[in-house]
Amino acid sequence: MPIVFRLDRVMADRKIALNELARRVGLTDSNLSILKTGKAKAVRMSTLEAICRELGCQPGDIMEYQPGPAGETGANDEE
Amino acid sequence: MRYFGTKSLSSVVVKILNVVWVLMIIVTVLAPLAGTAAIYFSTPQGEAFMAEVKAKHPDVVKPSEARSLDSASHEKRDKDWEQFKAVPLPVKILMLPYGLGVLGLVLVVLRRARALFRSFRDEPIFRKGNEQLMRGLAKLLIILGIATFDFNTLLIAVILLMACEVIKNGTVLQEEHDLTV
Repeated sequence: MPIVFRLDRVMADRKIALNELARRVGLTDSNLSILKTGKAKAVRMSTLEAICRELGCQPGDIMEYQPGPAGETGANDEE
Repeated sequence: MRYFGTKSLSSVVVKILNVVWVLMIIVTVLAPLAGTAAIYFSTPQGEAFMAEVKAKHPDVVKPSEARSLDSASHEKRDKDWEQFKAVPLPVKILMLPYGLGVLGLVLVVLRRARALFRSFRDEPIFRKGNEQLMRGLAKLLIILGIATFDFNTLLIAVILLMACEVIKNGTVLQEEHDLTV
């Protein structure tokens, strides 16, 4: 998927552990790990809002668009 | 009424299929013996042998003869037997492997159906494994439907193939749901 999560970078800047952020955002550790490792297929607006609130950042700080090979849209990249 | 999961219709179907599975194995083991015996006793040599046995033991009564009340079914059985005797021997011999093949196919269908309903009982419905099991079952039913000239079986197979597509799409949605944070 061309959208890459930079959550680990922002978390390192804020010196916050994964389990601590998960607790504050109201997610399980495994769900936040899915997001951090880029395995997530979708992110709820409420989750994004909570992460930005707790990390004091903008959505653009934790997400990055990296164009993939030609033809890859990211929408149906599992097929 | 629950259809999936423990204590549901699926678990009842699993129990029924387990019983049917055991019965079918017994039938499949006995079928070659019964088929061979039927072919033998429909030949002149077999009839002569039976006549000899009857002459030696005149007091032995066949169960079908003992039940004189159900004369209609008795007559039908006799009619079927006469029809079977009229079939040429090579055709009768060919009927044996055909029958065994159909029985084998039914066993494979039952095995797959048991696996599918067990999966419905134990696991989430929208899984790739369920789609593969269902697709395999549908293909087997198509073969069985063609082999036995049974239109109903073919129709069920087509419905199953359509249900496969539902499971397939459901699996994609379930995966997306599971990976939505």
